[in-house]
Amino acid sequence: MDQLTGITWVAEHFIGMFNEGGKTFVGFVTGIIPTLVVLLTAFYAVTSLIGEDRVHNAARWAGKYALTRYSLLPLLAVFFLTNPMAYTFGVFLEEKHKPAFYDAAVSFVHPSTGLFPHTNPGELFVWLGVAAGITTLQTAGNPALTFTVTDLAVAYFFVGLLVITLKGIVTERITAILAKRQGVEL
Amino acid sequence: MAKKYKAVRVEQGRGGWGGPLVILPTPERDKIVAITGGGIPAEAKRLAELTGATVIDGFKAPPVESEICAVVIDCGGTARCGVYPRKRIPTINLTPVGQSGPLAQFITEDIYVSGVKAQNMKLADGSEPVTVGFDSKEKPMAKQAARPAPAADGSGSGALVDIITSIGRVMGKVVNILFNSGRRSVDQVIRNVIPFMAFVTMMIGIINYTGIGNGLAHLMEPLAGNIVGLLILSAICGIPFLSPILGPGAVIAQVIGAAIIGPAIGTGAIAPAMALPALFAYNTQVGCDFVPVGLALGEAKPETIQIGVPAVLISRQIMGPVSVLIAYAASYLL
Amino acid sequence: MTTLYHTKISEVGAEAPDMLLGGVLILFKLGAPPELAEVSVLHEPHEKIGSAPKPGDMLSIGKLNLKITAVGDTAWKKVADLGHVVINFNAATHAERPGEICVEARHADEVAKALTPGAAIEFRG
Repeated sequence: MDQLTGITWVAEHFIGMFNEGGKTFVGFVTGIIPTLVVLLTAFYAVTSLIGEDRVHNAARWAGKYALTRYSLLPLLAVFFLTNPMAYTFGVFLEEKHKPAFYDAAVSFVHPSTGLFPHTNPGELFVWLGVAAGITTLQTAGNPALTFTVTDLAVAYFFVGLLVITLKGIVTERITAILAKRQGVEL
Repeated sequence: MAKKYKAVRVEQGRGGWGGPLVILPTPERDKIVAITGGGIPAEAKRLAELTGATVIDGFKAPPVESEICAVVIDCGGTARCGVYPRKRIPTINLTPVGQSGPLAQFITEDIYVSGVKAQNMKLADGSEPVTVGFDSKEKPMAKQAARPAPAADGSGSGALVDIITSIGRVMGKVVNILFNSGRRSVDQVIRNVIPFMAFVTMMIGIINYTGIGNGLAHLMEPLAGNIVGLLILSAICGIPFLSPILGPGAVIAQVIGAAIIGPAIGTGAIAPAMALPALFAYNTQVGCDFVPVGLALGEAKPETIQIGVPAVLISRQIMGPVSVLIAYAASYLL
Repeated sequence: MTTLYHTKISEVGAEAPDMLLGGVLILFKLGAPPELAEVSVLHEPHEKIGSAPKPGDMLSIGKLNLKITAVGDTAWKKVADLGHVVINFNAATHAERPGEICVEARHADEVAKALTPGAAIEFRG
């Protein structure tokens, strides 16, 4: 009899482990997917309606100035071309600016997903994981929480934008130093 | 001096496909071209007669493409019935075949009609938009503007037809874009988002149920629960020989976010104020695996890639912790 | 075997190789409109034309010999009128489209190699 209880115990907990996962899955599917599908559709439509030509013109302009080169240009690239095609906007830049632009653009493909999930739908959980944690606190009405998920998404976006600008400027500098040390003209 | 042209509606015949097309010649595009061989077929003559256009034999005297109003072909299903729709020239096929052959994608109902006999052609009543033949590279609206208002017979239906045409075309284009966007988003969700959810939820299930989660959270707490820990975490993720290994597919960042830090915030093991700096800390390595490819996508020269890779990795080592600090400062504003 | 149709390739259209990748070869007599020439192989046939080929007859393109598996209803008439026919490399025993002649399957590269200006194309029955 004891043996049987042992087996039952193992079986129960074995399946329990997956039931727990299943519950989380249902939560994700009903909580995330409906809005995500609609949101993705809207953003894909907006990007197609605005059209490539207009975006290219804006990109060419943004590539000229140090300040916009690592903020506005990556933003345009990530928003309109999404990961990984965003990096093709490097073609609008001089060689010496390309590594810095890549660094800025790639560092923005997650901070942008909180507000614009279409930019990187394959890697949403970098953001969604933490967002889910905040949502749990929010629904539980936890007093330790002083902000909402949306607040966090907005902050992630703008801090991301500030960070990539700095990253771009620093990487541009480092690229110049390395090129000089190796005696290469970029 | 402008000739009077009339719009003619061409319907598909028995067993045919596509259409109806409304053919209206303009002073620039006033040739109905028969590309059938063995002389001009009666149907092409009839169409020319009804519209007021000139009919010519495309094999005897091929006109320049920009003068063609419509072509009449008797194609068995491969070459001619694809070539002309591809050029967006209204195509009337006397043989009843539908979309086929290597150019099938260009054979669409708005530019192609088949199985047509003389009795399938009638003067249009102005209730339908004119089928406008334009090169696919040209902007349809520009073409519309460049074309003089066609002279209508007796009534003002020509201008109306034009307005309806442009509204119809814009609507069609918009609906098409929206539909494609929907398809793309569902595709993304099914191919990328749901598979990742399945994988992450399985991990979460195991971690939570077995209590490993609590253990991990406790383990991560000194690293993820305070700013000093996050700075160390970021510095580790940014080590130049480690960051390219941690990068691929953002899998590690996603697992840490979704299976460890997220739940730990949810249970209160990690303070919500740490959420923003944590997002930057465990993702310090983002894209470090992809630098050469990313640079190549931007058409960087080999020398640039050679210098760019170490430049990005070194910059990351410095800027990773700096980003965390900025995010930490910003989290006070929340 | 008698020769039913003999012709010499004069020009290979820029997009003809793409059509080969799509499984078909399009022939037109020299003088076809430019839109068609782009996707076709242009050729200059002999005046004489025999009766329509039947399944089992042969088609040769340069050194390449292919067995004909099906002939569409109107295909031969177009050969006579326009020097136009679509060769489909699908080995079908029934021509799905009236204007095509089906032959045994071959790799597009192999056919593309045989298509050089000056090479002969021949139907034999």
